[in-house]
Amino acid sequence: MNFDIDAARLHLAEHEMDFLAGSPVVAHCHHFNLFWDQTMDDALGEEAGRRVRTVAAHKSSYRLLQSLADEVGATTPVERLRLAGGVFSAMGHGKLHLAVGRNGGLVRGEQLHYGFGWREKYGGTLTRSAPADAFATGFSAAATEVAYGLDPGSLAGNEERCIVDGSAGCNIRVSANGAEPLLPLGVDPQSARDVLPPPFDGLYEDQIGPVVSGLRDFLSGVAGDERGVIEAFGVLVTAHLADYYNHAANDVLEIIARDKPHGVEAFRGLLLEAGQSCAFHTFGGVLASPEWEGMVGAPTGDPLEVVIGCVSLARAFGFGRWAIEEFEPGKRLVMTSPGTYESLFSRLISADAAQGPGGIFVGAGIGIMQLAHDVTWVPRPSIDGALYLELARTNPWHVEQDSSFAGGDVLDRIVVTRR
Amino acid sequence: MTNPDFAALVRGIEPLRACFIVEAASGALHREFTRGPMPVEPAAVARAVAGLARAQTDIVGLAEPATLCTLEWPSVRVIVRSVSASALVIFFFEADTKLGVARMHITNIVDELDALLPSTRPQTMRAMPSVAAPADVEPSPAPEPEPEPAPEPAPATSPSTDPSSSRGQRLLAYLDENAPDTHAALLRVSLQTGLPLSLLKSPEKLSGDEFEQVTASVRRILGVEQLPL
Repeated sequence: MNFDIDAARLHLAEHEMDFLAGSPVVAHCHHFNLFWDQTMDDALGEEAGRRVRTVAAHKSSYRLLQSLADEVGATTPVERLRLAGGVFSAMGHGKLHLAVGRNGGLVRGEQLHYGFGWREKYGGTLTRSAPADAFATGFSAAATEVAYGLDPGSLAGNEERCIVDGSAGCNIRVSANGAEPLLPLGVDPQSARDVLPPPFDGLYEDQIGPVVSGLRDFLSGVAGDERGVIEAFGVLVTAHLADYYNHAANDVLEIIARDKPHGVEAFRGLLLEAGQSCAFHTFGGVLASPEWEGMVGAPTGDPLEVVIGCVSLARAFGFGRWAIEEFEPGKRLVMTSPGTYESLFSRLISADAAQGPGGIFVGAGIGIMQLAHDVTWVPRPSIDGALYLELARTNPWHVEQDSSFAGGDVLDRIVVTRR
Repeated sequence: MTNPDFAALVRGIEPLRACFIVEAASGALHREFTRGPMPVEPAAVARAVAGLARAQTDIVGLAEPATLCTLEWPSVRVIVRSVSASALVIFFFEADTKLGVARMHITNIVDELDALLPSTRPQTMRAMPSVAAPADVEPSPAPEPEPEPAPEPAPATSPSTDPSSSRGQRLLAYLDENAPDTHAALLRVSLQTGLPLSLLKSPEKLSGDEFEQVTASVRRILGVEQLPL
């Protein structure tokens, strides 16, 4: 079933956030997604990490699929399973063949984003036996529950076979679950409107606005191809449930703060690194792409032009209304936002909002300054792993967050300076 | 023809059945290590594989040391790697060795293999010679093994050979060289082990138990069961 993802999207224009059937969605690439999942597993170990990620996927997917089924009037199990498979592919996560009944069953996956992406990125250099597709696993369990009108958490998924170890395909088993029921909490548009402060303008809005509009027009036509894959800008892109990341990171932080507090500093450092990776690979990949050249013009190497491009991309990807408060080329960037998809979740849902994990806004600050100053844009650069490592080794930028919306401040604000 | 240093270097690679250093132009054997009997004659394999490698470099050229070809035979996986303009190394791995693991082992020792080559080797890597004897002609006689080259300073990429560094330092230096996203590797070890970053930045202070935890973490990050340290 082809699913028109754009028709079901609600754009909260004043806060530059997107919602799909009431669930916040953002665009992220496979570099960010793999690093994110890896960080969760580093924190808890592969098995426990996978469990937390699967539950995060289950909770966030249940909310999405239940609302979506209600919105489009899908009432029978067949309709609901088709709808689930359609939206999964449209979001760029691959293809799911859901052969499931009320008590579960077998789900066959093709080109599942995480396994496919892992093989693409690491398959030539690393070996792996632990399955990679926790998101597809949690999604499959949720899809079965919604299809048959079951409570969230009554079923559980387990990926039995994954292409990361050389298997030909991915198999996910959905079966009855003896664990506790899940509480699928999440951010919704109304609560976002209620809690976020009024939006405000930053510098260069007259340049940012048109670029965001153009990007949104362009992105509205982007969805998974016949394989359920979105290949664009040199990366594998997903429209992803923001609360998948948020549930996983918050749950992991709670566990390690209790069980191995010395690891918290490293956890935060790695989330920041994930944000940096996102800025480099996704923002950088877009800026270096022919699509960007056609839409905005190829970057000339002017740092301001790059910063404006990146802030526009963050908005178009649903990260929040990022704004430039100050920019002094070669020296300093101050960015603000009434909130981001991370800090909004922490403020609304987290047990201890002040300790919300965050990372995307702060890490992207460094990544944006690297792209603006440390990348040669003419001729067009290769935004690849080798350049990323080179920039990471020579990074001259330092970032501080001096205001945290999650922690109770009125906005998010970061300051990036040269060391 | 087995050279003690060469054998010591490659013997630690568990899935490796045999390894030859070969003169690129002629296919003549410089060094040879085998673990048990081989179903084929090493010299014949060396000649044939050198011919294959020559054919490839004649077509596409070669700007720097690289893996030239990978052969998946029923009983063994063969990887041919150039280490200089004049020398190839042929690795024979167990047939069930994953290619990623094999490549990682090769990457780990290739610099040290380079140091075992005759001292007349070029100072810089360059393209393989494009004119060479075809593979099926009689090879020129194997040159006499030359004396070992004068010891060179350990390259920066081989911390395990620096006797003055602690085992903790060697371990983390090895991680730094081989981890994906190497700049984030220490953070990953800290998160996996729960050991503070400040301690990991002074690895010589790791206790025995902490060292074991870090070793397990490094194995996990690199996706291997054994570390060639």
